Amino acid sequence: MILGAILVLLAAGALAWAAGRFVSPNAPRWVSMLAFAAGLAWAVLEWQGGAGANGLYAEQFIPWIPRFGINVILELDGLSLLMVALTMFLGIVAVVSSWDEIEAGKGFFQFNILWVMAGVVGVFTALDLFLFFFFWEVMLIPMYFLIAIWGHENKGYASMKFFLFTQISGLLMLLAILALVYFHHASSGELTFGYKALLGADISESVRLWLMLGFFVAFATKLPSVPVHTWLPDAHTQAPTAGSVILAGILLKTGAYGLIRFAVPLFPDASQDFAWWAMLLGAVSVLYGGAMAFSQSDFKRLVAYSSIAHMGFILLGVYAFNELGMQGAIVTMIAHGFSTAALFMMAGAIQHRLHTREMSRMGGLWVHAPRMGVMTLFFVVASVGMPGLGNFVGEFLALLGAFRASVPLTVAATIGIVVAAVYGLYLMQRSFQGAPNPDVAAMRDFGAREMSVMVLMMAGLVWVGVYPQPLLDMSAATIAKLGVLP
Amino acid sequence: MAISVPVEHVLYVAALLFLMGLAGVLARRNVMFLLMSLEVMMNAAGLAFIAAGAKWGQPDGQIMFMLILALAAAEVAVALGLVLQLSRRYGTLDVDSASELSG
Amino acid sequence: MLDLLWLVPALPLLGFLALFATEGKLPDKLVAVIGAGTVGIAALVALFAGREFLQSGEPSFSLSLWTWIAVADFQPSITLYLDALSLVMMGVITGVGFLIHLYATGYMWKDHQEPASYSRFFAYMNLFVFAMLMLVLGDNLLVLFLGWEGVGLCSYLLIGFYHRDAANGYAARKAFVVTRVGDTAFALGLFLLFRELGSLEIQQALAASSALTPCMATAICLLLLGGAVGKSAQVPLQTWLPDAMAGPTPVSALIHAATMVTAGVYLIARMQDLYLLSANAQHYVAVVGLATLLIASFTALTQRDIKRILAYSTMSQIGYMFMALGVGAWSAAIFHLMTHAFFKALLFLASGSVILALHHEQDIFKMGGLWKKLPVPFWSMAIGSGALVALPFVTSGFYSKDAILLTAYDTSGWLYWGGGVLAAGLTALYTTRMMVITFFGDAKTEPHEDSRINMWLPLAVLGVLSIVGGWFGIGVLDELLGGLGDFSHASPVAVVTMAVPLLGILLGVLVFSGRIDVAGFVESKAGDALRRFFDSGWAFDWLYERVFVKPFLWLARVNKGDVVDLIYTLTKSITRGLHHTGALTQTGRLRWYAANMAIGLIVVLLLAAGWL
Repeated sequence: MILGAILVLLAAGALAWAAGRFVSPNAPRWVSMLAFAAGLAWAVLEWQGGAGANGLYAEQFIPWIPRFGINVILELDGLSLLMVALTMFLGIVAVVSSWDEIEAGKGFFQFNILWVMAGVVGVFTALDLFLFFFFWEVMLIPMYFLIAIWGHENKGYASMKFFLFTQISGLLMLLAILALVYFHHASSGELTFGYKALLGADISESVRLWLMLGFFVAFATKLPSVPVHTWLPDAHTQAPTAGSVILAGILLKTGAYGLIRFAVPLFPDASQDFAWWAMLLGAVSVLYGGAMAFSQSDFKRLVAYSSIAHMGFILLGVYAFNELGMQGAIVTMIAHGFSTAALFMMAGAIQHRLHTREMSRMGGLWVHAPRMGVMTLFFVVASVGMPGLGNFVGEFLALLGAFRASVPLTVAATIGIVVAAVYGLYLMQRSFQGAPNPDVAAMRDFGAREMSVMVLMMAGLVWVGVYPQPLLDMSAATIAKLGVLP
Repeated sequence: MAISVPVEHVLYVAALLFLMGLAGVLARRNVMFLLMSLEVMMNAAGLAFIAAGAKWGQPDGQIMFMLILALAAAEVAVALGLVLQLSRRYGTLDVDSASELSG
Repeated sequence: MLDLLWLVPALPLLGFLALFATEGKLPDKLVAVIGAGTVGIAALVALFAGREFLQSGEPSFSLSLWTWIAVADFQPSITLYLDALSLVMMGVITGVGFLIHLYATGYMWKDHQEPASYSRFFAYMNLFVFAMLMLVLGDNLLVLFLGWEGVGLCSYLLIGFYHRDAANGYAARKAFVVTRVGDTAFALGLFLLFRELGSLEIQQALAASSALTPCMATAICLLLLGGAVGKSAQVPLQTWLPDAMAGPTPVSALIHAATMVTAGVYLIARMQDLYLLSANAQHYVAVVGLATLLIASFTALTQRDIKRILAYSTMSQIGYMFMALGVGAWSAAIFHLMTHAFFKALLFLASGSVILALHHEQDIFKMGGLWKKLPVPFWSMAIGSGALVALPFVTSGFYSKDAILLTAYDTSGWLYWGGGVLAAGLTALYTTRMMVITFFGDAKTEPHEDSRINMWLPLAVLGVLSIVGGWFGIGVLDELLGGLGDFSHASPVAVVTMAVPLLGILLGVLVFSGRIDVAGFVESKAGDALRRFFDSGWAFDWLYERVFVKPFLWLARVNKGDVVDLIYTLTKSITRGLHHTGALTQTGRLRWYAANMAIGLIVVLLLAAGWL
């Protein structure tokens, strides 16, 4: 069933491409819309169906290359299901946000979106390291195309930078995977890429650290954490709206997911030794990302840097090594998926209308587009960490957990919420408030299509903010099964 | 019956010939002289093969020499085509005039 | 009725949602009905619920709604908790809140900067009332924090309500960010409290708090004090409040006088048992209060803007409350909070009427001679000022201020009492200055009074409360909270406490009506420097600008391009450089290649022969 979902997305991609060629240029977006809606419906059905006795909502095992111990192992547990549902939902958001933005190659555009998402679903469900790496690459290439073909003025540079960062760090992970399999084979005589078998691999202490770092670098680059974050502002700024939505909403989360699912459980002792440094990176990301966000004059770039700050909370939470922190990281993943996707959609909408991302050329947009103003305000307030909205729950839990692990780092990261207020409100001021910019003659406000997506995301954030319990229960089961917490 | 020439002497001659050819390749700009110098170098290699074959009493050396002859013939055929092209395009036989493939 | 307690915060929230969802398309009259009506009904529900609670005789009542977050041992739930303290706060918020909403329906009526702004205003106001109610009714510090941040947000939204003016946006952001600094301390306090006591549930935590080491108790108390200082505009985080006057006047009355700024007082009073564990922390609370009290009183003496005068006076009155908390006069602090809500709301609303009548003129030196032309605002201001100055026996402010000062004298000696009395004299002085310059002397701007019932009725009610709130309140609060027993007004200390404000008024009248000439001092060099120092709010803004704002802006400017990216751009440049160097050898010259091959061959041969 999981493989079916992935194949449906892949097939829908091919179908969208063909439909764009042979039916009508506007057909592809409907194809992807339907595909994502079907995917979301599937995820919700799996959720409603409840977890089996082993805590899995669905699982699949197909032998692939038995000689090397490589199999198609796909499992859907609480955390995976949450992330898959978010993926499908943000797929819809991405399609809507680029509804009439793309001029040329509409079919191939939707093809790439669908293939990225197929790769992402694979990443979130694969429990075979070879298969995981395979999907990791599957989501990279179409994303590269999305930026390189439909990006803005500096797309070549941005897409190449994105590709190199992801690819080089990915290769480090591949090395680590191969070494892990090799050492496991050496010690146990069993050649396998299976996640569960490798969980208990017996590896000497000195090697363990390096293998853990191989995984950590790959995931920290994807997350991204300072100092390997610099691909993100460029990639986000240059990507088309749908690309930014997917990048911020989902692709960054694969890094966080990788940390939780692979880096920490595969090397619990090495991770524990490394935890302080990872938390330090998290705290630095929070502060540095915040300060950098404030420096920017480009709407999208500002939001991009704010993502780095938010991802810092995830590092803090995961490496706090307690349930509060871990839950905080997971809730942050979901809430940030909503809030930042919405802000990127807003940035795209503004750019589509004004043909600029420079905030100095905005100002007073509220007068022209009060709905857009209210929406921006809402999501800015959410990302500033207002209690009652999702981001607060995540960040508060992450900090509460981190406080038990390291007081100074938590204090530093908490100062980051002041910085968040500074850049968030400054964004609001420079774009929507103040005297109306005379250069902006008129601007179409959001219509029903955009509003419906926005309202859904608002509802999502409020839900996560005031009643996150269903979500926490789902991830709690996964966390318990990871077995890394004391 | 035969006057025995020490194999070292033949190899010295071959090395001398090779160096002369190499010097020609490095020093001459005219493509014709360049080719001739190349021929000299190949023949030097051939001489070394012959000497080695005689030394060990094996036919391989002579076979290699015939291979070199064939190679030289093929090379001349291609090279003369290049010479023609060079003189047609640049109106000169100076090889340095065709240094377009620089980095 | 008590089970319907949830309606009290839910009704304003409903009002907000209704106004939010309709996107300002409702007719203004309906907006007014929803905006003020929901708060009014909430006030009625609160009244009945409160009566039932008092009749039940129980010390507290809690209403569990749902579990908010349950992770491991962290299980905050959304529970409403009613006891004497939250009852008083709920009464003030819904009661005074309703009156201010009612006033605002008139005040904002003609204020159509742009379409839907009337509806937007009431949406924010209702959201504020909801958040403020969650703050005081939450039985859990996390729910309290929800309300705490919520009121901060609404304060930001309403200060920057006229968002076309960038200066308002600046004031709004300043308010939000400066209070956020305090909130950070508050959040850290919560983390620490949770780590030490394993619960954020207030009653549980307080019950368990005796296990804390004194050092830990002090740390928690000081962190919470940090939050309180930010929200209540106390030294050193007081700088946002005067700028916050950029908001519409009803906002200043509701948020920046009657309710939100007193949240810090509520927090400390709520965590009283914790503060009792740490004499040090309590001492700091008193010091903060006294410092703010004096700084703000001196500053108010020199302001020209009527709302800024009131803002500084608010700061100083909250300083009294902090001082009261610090010296252990818990009930007196809450009592003063209540009377202050009455008379300061009255003062702000009355000043709003003056400002409206003068076409948004706020400079008192451009007013004058208004007492006959604007009788309703004048008498309201007069009553409010009387209560602010604490005219003996006839005003509510007298009873509450007296309770604070006399308790301070009894428990902590002459220092706090002396500082408080000095500030009371200054209060009398600047209030008299404000009244004399605004309402007497020559008229400088012609007013047009436009007073409707929805505007003068709240003034009248608040006026009555400002007078009788003292007699009435002292009895009720003494019964609820205790500790407000009879104070003897015959002792020398009490007589001095009463007399100083009267002397202040006398001096004020003499100076500001020109009977005593102080021009010589004011125009001297020292006098001018002093005036400018006071006028700038003791140069706190100047200091913060240099210590925090400028360096941050500088950092933002120089690092716009992200210095970390240099690692990668440098890698790129080095690779490129190597590439170019390598490309230099590729000359395209056949003989150069041949020579290189020859040299290479020689090197290889030499290496093989072992000569190198």
